[in-house]
Amino acid sequence: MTLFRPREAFQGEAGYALLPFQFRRLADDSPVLLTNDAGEHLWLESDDFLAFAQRRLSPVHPSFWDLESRHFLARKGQPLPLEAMAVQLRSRKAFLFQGPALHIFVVSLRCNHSCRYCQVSREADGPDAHQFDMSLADASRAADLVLEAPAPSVTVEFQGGEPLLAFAVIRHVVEHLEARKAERGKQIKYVITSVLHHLDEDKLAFMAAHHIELSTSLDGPAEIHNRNRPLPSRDSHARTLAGIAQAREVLGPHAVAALTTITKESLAVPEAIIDAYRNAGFHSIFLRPISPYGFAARSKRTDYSVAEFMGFYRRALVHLIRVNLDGYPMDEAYAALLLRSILTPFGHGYVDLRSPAGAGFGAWVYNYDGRVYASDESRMLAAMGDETFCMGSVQDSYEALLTSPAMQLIASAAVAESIPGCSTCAYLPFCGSDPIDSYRRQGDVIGHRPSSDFCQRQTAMLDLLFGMLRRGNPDEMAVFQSWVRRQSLAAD
Amino acid sequence: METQFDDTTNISVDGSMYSLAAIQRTAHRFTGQFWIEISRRDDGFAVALKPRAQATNTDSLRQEFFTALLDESLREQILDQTREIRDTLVRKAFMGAQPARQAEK
Repeated sequence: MTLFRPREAFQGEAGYALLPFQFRRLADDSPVLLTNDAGEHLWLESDDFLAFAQRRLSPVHPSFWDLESRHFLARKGQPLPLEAMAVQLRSRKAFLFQGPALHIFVVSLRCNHSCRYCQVSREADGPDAHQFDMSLADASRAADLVLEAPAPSVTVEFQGGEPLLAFAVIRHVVEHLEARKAERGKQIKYVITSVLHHLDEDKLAFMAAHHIELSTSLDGPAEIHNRNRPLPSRDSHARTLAGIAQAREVLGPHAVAALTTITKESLAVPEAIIDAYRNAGFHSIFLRPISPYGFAARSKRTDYSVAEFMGFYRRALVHLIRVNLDGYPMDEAYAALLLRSILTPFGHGYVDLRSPAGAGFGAWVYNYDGRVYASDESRMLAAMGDETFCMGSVQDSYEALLTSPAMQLIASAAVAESIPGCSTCAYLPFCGSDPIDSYRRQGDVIGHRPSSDFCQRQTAMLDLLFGMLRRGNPDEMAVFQSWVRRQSLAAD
Repeated sequence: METQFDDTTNISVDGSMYSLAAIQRTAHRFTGQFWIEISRRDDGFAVALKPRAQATNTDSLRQEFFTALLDESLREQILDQTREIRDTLVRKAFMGAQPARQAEK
């Protein structure tokens, strides 16, 4: 006689309904990956998957309760878990209730570099170059638009050119916002994106007083950085490292973040790039492929395939995991934000990877000349002569900008859930729509997923991460968990 | 009128087993590498795939196409069974995001 009744006695009423989900086979003989809109995922062996999808899976199957608790099925006779699923979905799309929360001020086009892959437009610094600075009147008006945006917490980012060359504009915007933010109930985070060659005591004191963070570009070892970012003095790398040290001394060890841009020369040396970041004291690295904009679009030397980039990225990830296991914590920002989105109930919020799209709905760009764009890429297109995504000017009202023809065009392709190739993709909960990238690369805002570099790279990246999660190597999982627990550095 | 391609792979699909929508969605997945033509036949559909660049192995292409078609058919069945729940879910989740005037109605 047994103490307990058999398992079947606890199964409840037979039969179940499917809840919405997508699936993907990573390789012919691997289990099937199931995902749903709430961002839950689960693996099933191929036979079990078919039985599940055809509603033949036994309630005593080991995966049945997992499928039920993660909202892939609803048991017959039980109420549908709609309330819980709606809360999950709303949490992942919380950015929708905020409006634009990232406001980028292009305070000047002036720059002293002539970077071969520069994604933005720039003008050489010189006596007449102040015409490429944002006027203080436009800066005030743009700052008022920031205050009009409904998001209670916003990030104001200063870009260029080299924004430190127009520090008076930065100072003006910060003071304008600081004087008015309390009455509008706003919290404002400030970031300056700079090569850090033009820091001085006054600027650093102002940054310290207003808790301004810095984001710089560091492309790895000196030879690669200096080749990518030419200066007549050929010392861009040394000057950026000196700027980082100077800023850390005044603003603290975590006040400077760095981004690396991967050029063709970078592809052969992922380990050296990561080691250079470690030597410079960084605990995060963002391995960004080059965007097809601006000067980068005209340079053959920056051209490489998604497969070449992923070969580089795989090597980088292996090395980075080893560096972490050796005791030096450092994440790869993009993998970290994707993992956070996969392994926690929250969306990553990363403005370049949202559905509906981040362009215009999550970020606005105020150009030096007073024009307003839906994203940094939109104003780069404008610098190439295409004003399609210009929303208007800082003189326009918040409502007029948000309902402009540019925004209506973006809106028509902003929801990945309705785009061919995306709507049934298992990676949809972790990915997004980028109408401006589609427009630039493929000629229309919806684009064509089967030939899209963006889609290929996203798919390859998520195949890589899900493949590693599936294998579950304890060392790799320990490192991934440590990345997930940190706050995502790239999210706005 | 029927178009003939030199290095084209022609695949016949039984119309009683697969819907045109599933065939179209499957074909769309191949449009990165192939030019596609779908035409109606008495007992179903004919799909012609012409490589955009290099020639391809016809047998493996056929297998790949039917494997993808089975998955697309399954997706279609799942979507049919879950569409109503998904619509309700999205409405419930984002009710508060409706324009104020519409929400008042």
